[in-house]
Amino acid sequence: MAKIVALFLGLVIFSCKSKNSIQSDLVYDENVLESTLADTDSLRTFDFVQARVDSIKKALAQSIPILLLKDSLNANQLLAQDIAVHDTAISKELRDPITRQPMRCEVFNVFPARQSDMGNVKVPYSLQNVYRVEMYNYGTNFTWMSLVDIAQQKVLWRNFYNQTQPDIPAHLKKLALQIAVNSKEVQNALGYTPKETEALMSNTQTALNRTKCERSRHLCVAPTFVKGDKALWAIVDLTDHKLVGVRWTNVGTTGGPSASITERRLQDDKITACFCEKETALTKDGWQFNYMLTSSDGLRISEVSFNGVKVLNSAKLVDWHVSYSGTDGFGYSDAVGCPYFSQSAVVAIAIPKILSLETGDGFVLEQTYASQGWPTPCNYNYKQRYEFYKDGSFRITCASLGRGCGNNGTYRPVFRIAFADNSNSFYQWENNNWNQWVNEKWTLQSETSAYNTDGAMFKISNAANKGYYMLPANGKFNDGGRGDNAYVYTTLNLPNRDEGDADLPTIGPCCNTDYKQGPEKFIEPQPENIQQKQLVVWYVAQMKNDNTKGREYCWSESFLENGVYKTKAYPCFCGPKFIPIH
Amino acid sequence: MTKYFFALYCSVTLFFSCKEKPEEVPFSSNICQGFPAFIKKVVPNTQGLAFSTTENRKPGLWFVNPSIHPNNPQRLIYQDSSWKMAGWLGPMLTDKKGNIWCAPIPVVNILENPTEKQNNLYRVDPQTGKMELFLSLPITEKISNENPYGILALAYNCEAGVLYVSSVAGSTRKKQNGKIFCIDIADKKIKSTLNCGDAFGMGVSFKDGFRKLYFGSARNSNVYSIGLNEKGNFTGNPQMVFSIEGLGLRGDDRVKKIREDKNGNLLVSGFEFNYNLTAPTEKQETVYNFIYNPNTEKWEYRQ
Repeated sequence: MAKIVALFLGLVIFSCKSKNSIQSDLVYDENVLESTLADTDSLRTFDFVQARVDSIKKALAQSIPILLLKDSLNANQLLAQDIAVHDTAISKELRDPITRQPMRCEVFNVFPARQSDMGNVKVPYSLQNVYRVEMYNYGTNFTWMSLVDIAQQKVLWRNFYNQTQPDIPAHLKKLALQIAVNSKEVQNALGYTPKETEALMSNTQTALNRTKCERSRHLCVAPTFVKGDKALWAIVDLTDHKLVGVRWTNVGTTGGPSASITERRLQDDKITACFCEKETALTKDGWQFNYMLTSSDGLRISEVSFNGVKVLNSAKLVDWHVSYSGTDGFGYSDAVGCPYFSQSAVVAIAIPKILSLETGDGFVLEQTYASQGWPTPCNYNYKQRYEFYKDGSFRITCASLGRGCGNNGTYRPVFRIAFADNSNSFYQWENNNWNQWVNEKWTLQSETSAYNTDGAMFKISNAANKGYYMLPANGKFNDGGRGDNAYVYTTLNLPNRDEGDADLPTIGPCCNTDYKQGPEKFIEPQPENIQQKQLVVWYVAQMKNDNTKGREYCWSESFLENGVYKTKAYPCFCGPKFIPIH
Repeated sequence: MTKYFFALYCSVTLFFSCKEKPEEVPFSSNICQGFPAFIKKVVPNTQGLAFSTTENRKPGLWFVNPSIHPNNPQRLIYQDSSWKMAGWLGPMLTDKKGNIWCAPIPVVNILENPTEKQNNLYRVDPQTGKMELFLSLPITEKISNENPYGILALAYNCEAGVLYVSSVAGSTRKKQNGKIFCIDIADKKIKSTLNCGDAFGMGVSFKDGFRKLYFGSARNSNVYSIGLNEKGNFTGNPQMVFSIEGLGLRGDDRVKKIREDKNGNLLVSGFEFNYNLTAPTEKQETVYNFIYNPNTEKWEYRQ
């Protein structure tokens, strides 16, 4: 019967097929996997950018800190520009309202006004004397438009457009093309070094596609190179003078329009295709494991082994519980994970990075998640890190980079760490001895907690005493962390019972201040025996944020640098380190 | 190699010929909102007040003074104890009899909105003011934890007195299982189901002389229409009518709501939607105005 129904529906679809049909939504995109995200931490610049940077700095030092239009202007246009930039109404828009530092502003266009521009002008004018002057503020990402009457030598009307960017002038188009053709990501994608004149969309006859940088809120354009029936979009950030990334799109032989590629779409599609839909295997420094982004449990590592010995079944970051003490019960329970189709409140904005430890004795697997409005209030930025050391030690860690909804917040990330050995037992260092936990239970790391000479508070080991010391963070990891005050839970892991191995929905509410952070659900009401079993360690750190000058923690601040807002982050790293028992 | 394959199966539960044209309709407006009588009993002066499902930190349905700032507690005028039963709510509308129709939408997490209850349709009785579960719409596919959503939007057909409910329950990243249900309010039954893939905001319009339900895709920025008969049932097949791709601050908005103004123009609300639980504060909404051009028989965007 089902087959008959399917055939029937198929006939309906086939017979109704038309270019207007909803069926035209079918998307089959292999280009995502080949897209490239440029390393946003790169300090790489181009020599040809230096002259522009110098002119920006020079303009910012002026009393009217505006970069004037570089394209050739006639005398009337120059006069219109001069009147517009001296308009007192815009002076307050040129500087930060608190610090009075100048923001980077630039005149983009000076055009003869059209009649259609004049709808809001209520004073007499002669159209041939009126010019439309467009200026862009890189600091706040807004456009200012003035209608200037050069005969009357005054501004007839002005308006501001928030989060809007005007068409860019010719010299910035050239700069964007220079950045694109000189970027190795573009050269690698095309297989050769293109010329600037090759950037052209045949269907639009324009070298630059419109695009957006939604997350950085920077001025971005997309020089586009056509090769066969594909177009390579190179997203160029003209605020920071760098390439954001590249991606091919299918344009077809008829040159029809393709969906716009933006910064967010480039990032989200790449993250999804490469890290949400499949695992990646990594072998490095004796370590071997798989990693992938989950729907709501952050970056998960699995099948972790060191020098061929299994260490972990998996580890992941289940939740972030954020509570604010000023308002009873106010806070958020955030999951982190994939950008599309997920239960994440704060989504991955970059692909996982593999970095060397500063000490040179291992490497880090790092993932960043952020709200789109970070670092503005009530937006969040989280980092998740796995540190792997050449001696077999590892640390599972994360940090909040603020900024949240207030300076009275407590962050409680929930880690789940599933060990591989089938006959582990769990011990706590008390009274100069390792005391074994008989049943599932939890404890709170406090100022009076005892540590052995290795700094360990716990030990997880098998009958042969092979295993790991566990060191909850207590301000001694040289990462700025101030100690975790962590709840530590140990639960039984049975192969036929899923207690958190699969992707977990939000495991607990935002604002419990006691041990009820979620893992207790797998202990209560009847704790089970955990001697010589496969075990899961749950770890819930507690970090109070701080915005006190000089003591910032789990916090972030914006500041102006060369007229553009940057973010200074004060991360609060937490998480336990595990050292092999020798 | 991993491949994206977003298949949209579009069919009507009953077979309709592709050549069939929707019936012409002799009027042009689908505006018939009634006022729930109960509210006068609890709030004597209702001038300027409104129902809301999107109050800061306050789940459920509220009667509010929208002129007061969202952070000011004086904005919140009234909430019946039953109005929190479904957790956080999203879509809401009032029909011509004053019934208030609501559906849940998870906010930031699913603690208050279990996924299996996201296909529940709720009604507030216009006389008693009590909220009740009206219908649990069927979920034919296994619910995956990658999609926390069920019902996304509601629309009401004034002429036929039926309710349209779009749901993406059971949809996954790779497969669309979304449907639009046509609900017979009087019989408390599903009259028909449009298996059109994942639809979001909807609106009924008679502007072009035909009864039509307009709906946006939850997966892209396209807007489609499907014909309706005088009883509100779907006729024919969906046709793409316009797109909001490239419009607004974001350029890739999904259609959250479609309303009709007094002139029959479509007011299309767009916002960012990626089937995740990013906070609503991150999602600015933009209204796009579309005007019907009878000469070209097309809807045209008007800035």
